Amino acid sequence: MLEAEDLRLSLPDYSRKPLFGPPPLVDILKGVDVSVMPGEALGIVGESGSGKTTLGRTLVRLYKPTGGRIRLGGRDITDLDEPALRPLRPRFQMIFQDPQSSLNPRRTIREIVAQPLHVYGMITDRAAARRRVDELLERVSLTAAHADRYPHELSGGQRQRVGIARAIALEPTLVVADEIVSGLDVSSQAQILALLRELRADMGLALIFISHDLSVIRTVCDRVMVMLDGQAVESGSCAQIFAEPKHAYTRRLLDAIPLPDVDPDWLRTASIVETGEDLRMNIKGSIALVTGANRGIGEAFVAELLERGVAKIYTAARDPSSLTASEKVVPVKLDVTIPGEVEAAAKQCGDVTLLINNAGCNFNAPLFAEDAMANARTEIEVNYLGTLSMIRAFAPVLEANGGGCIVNMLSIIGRVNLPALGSYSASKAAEYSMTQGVRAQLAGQGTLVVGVMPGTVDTRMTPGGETKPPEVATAALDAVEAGQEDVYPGGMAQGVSQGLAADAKAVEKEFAAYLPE
Amino acid sequence: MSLGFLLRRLLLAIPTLVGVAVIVFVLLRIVPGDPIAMLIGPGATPADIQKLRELYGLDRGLLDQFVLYVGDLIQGDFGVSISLRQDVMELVLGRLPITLELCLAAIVIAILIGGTLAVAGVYWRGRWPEAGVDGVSGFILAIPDFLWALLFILFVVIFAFSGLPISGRLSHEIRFDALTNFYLLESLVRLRFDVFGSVLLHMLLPALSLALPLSAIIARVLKSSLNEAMTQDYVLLARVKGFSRIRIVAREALRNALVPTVTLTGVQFTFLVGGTVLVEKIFSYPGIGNMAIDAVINRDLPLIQGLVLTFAVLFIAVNLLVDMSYAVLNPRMRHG
Amino acid sequence: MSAILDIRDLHLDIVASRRRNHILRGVSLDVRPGEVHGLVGESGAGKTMVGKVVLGIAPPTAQVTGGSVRFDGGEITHMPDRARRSLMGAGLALIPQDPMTSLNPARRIGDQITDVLRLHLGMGAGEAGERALALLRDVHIRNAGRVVRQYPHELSGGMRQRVLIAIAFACRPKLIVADEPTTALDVTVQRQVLRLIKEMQENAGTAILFVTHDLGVVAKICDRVTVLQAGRVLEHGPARRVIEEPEHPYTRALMKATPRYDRPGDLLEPVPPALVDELNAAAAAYDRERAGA
Repeated sequence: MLEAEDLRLSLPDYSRKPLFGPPPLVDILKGVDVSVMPGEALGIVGESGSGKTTLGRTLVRLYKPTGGRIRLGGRDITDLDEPALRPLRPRFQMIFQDPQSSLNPRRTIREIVAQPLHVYGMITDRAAARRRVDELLERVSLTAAHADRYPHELSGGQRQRVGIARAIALEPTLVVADEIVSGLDVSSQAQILALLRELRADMGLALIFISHDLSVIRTVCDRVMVMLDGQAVESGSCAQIFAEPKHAYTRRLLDAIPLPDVDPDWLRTASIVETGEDLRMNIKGSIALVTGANRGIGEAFVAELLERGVAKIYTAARDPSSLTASEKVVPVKLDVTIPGEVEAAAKQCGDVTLLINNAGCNFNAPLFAEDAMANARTEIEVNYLGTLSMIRAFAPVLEANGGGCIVNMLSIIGRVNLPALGSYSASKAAEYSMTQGVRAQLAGQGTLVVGVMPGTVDTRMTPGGETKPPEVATAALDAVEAGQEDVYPGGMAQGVSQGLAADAKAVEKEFAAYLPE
Repeated sequence: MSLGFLLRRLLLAIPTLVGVAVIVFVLLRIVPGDPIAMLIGPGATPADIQKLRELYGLDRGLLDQFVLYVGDLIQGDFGVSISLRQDVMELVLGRLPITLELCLAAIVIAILIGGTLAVAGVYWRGRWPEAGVDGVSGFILAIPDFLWALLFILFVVIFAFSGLPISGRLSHEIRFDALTNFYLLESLVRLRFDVFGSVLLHMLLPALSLALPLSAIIARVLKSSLNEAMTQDYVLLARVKGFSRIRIVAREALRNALVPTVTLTGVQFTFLVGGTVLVEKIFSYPGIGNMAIDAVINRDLPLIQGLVLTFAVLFIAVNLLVDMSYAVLNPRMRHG
Repeated sequence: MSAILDIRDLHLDIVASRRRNHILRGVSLDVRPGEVHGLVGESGAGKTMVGKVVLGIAPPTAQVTGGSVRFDGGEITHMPDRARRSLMGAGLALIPQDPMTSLNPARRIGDQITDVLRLHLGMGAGEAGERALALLRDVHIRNAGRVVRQYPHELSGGMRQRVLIAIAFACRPKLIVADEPTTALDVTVQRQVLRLIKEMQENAGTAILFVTHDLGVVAKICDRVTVLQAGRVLEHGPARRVIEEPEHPYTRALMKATPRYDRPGDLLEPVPPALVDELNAAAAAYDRERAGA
């Protein structure tokens, strides 16, 4: 019926237009797939800014997508211009959120409903038009008495019925309804929803129902798609998604709906602080410290920070002789496992606002290797204790500088247990927990704590790893600038994190088989 | 307020000025009347007239004249006044401060009167003072500035107010060797309060004539935008906070209501500058408005050109100031 | 325990162009110290008007034609302006509906918090500034030091509602009227803000008159509830009782008409039009009776 693939839409952002040249583009839709079968009802849910309304309008080609394809009944309508679209328009109609502003206040209800009939030449003689309008009004449970009134003389629920009558006048096969019950009272909302169910059954209408309210979607839709930030994070049948939502965001959305049941725990378990957005940090002009700066990911961080216009970087390493100083780069001798050196660094680098705890080690060696005991000790010592001691020393520094950001280089291995790499897994799991604890404690002082969880990274410790160091650094610094708390750079990490959300046991099983060479 | 915005606005001003220059040139060449004839009077020989025509370049073709004119403009040379035989630039710049001071005084008076009327009308909303404010502003608005000027003069003459001067800029009894033509400012800086008082007194009636119609417009616009602001949710919250009505008008509503008022005041200011032409003449006030009338009567083309361009620069500058003030008044416009 | 707010038999009409519309038809309710009292109803029920009468911000066209509103023991229905103003802040406060429009766009956040503190608690600029920072931290705003210097448009809707909650609680009022305080917010933000209101209310021991159309919100945050329809109280009682065993057919019908994501859609039953007609007829009969009496 309707099919859209990889739909993208970018709009110019005039609020950030430079002096000369075009304004920068903002991505509103970032590759969305939609498909609706004949007679099917698809719910699209999302919060403000998720792109759901834009998606609805793009699907009926009120907007022209900047990428992807839309097919309606097998015909590609992506690039059709308005004259070419016109003969197709009767087949897909749209009902808008605010009936007050989408109905012309100077026309009677009769004129409003009859208008599409006249425009498309469906009806030419007046008597037939009258009959058809009366029929349509009756269809939406309005009486002929309403026909000669003006929109402002009707209640909100009645106006929305007029909107529906106008949309079905041309007997479309698809209707896109955008938040059509959100401004209504419970009683008229329920009536409109019941009406939509009836119309679907009678007319075999396919429906795309856009709403912020999952409860409302459940009452009219067969399938649901959850939108977040211009992307669909989850989609499936209503029965499946409402029973066992897979994506964390869907769960959060469901948990946030206040069902009319008395439940004191519902409030008690709510998060009290607003999510990370407000702690976004500009890297340009900030002063950073990167530990383990002489190797793999550390070097990538330094390069990427310079690229983004950092004011100064302290590059820390156990052996600073391998670091090169420059105008913006100040090498520091620092072994995170030696408390005296950590304290000295905190004193020396009192202007830091961005701390990148990159130093870490992974011996990736068998449990019965010769140095296994020493390796395990070092892994816990560096990965967990070293990072903790850095944070303890630098949290007051960041606070004195008005808040900032701490980036902890974790690993996806911290989220799943790798039996063959017990001490490494444990050190990273402990670091992951600590990251969450520190995040909660430092939020109040205005410090963002980012946890970066890549899969295997192509460094000396794990050569040939899936992800390249610059990708990790880019993803981590993007998170800093976006105020995002957890990042999973690379396909492997993303896969594992989604897998964990879906079926943790299966992921663990898969990892249990891993053995280091 | 970004530097980029300013730069863009300044660049946009250039084509405007060029346009004004072209229009002025064309208009002045197609109106009838021979400036040379006006200059030397009835007894001159044709040879004398021809000599003068050559001197001012009036004997050449229109295109030649235009090329000459633009070339001079670019060098900042506005030519020599035909009637006064002085450099136009010097003449205009010499008199400009007089008119600027007058206009500024008029704006201040207009804002004081208009602001007071508007706030009073909003404070006593729905009661008789509001009707009074509407009536007064309607009456003031019905009479144009030059009529106010004539009315004031009539008033002073009939009631023989010797204390209120109706012509000139400074009392003849006061000696003041000014360095600039900004008498008001200069006397203040040099602590010559006798001069300051006298200049202010001479300025009062012309400034008031110019200010009154503007004050009525300010009162109306400010009042309606204040009334609108008073229906906003944040005003409701301020009432719940327990603030008095006058404080709510002044602290919550006023600043949000200023943007449309400032826009309008900016537009009206340009009319006010135009109004100086007649009002200055009526009060024999020696500004550029007065000078403009003489220039027109004498068909003094170079001087008229210089004056019109000066007015144009003034308008552009005022509009720029208005745009810049938005950023101060409205925090939402500060980035961008 | 004696009620902090005691509304008895309140009648109110809106008089516009010689037409008189009855909005409240004998509303009675009491809010006890430290409780969250839900006032629930659909649009036109008069719930918002009750809140406005309590706060003294009813429109000039509204006339109280009978009954009394007692706050903290004193009658406040026809109070003179000046006395009414002194009650605000430390006595009564408001959490408004729309965070996007309820903060003055031209004033800094800090100033909009300190002004009440200085007016009602007589604080100096320095002390009020410190207190404003502490209040912003109380409502869990990170970076309070930066937020006080910002303008409303620089904050998200949720952040603005937090600021408005901080303002409402600033002078530790005895009663706060919360007028649909989460209706304009995204659901995930709504839950956080509801939790915040509850936390602040419990810590300060403030009573809240919580005006809402949403039975779900009532179930989650209110201790007691009053159900309003066409300006009449249909039922009132503890939230758990009203939600789980509603007595009035209208309340029962509302519960059945509320969509729930945990139930298939065919269980949804619109409010029967006959019931609404019956209630409106009863309201009209009440008006006739009162006009006759």
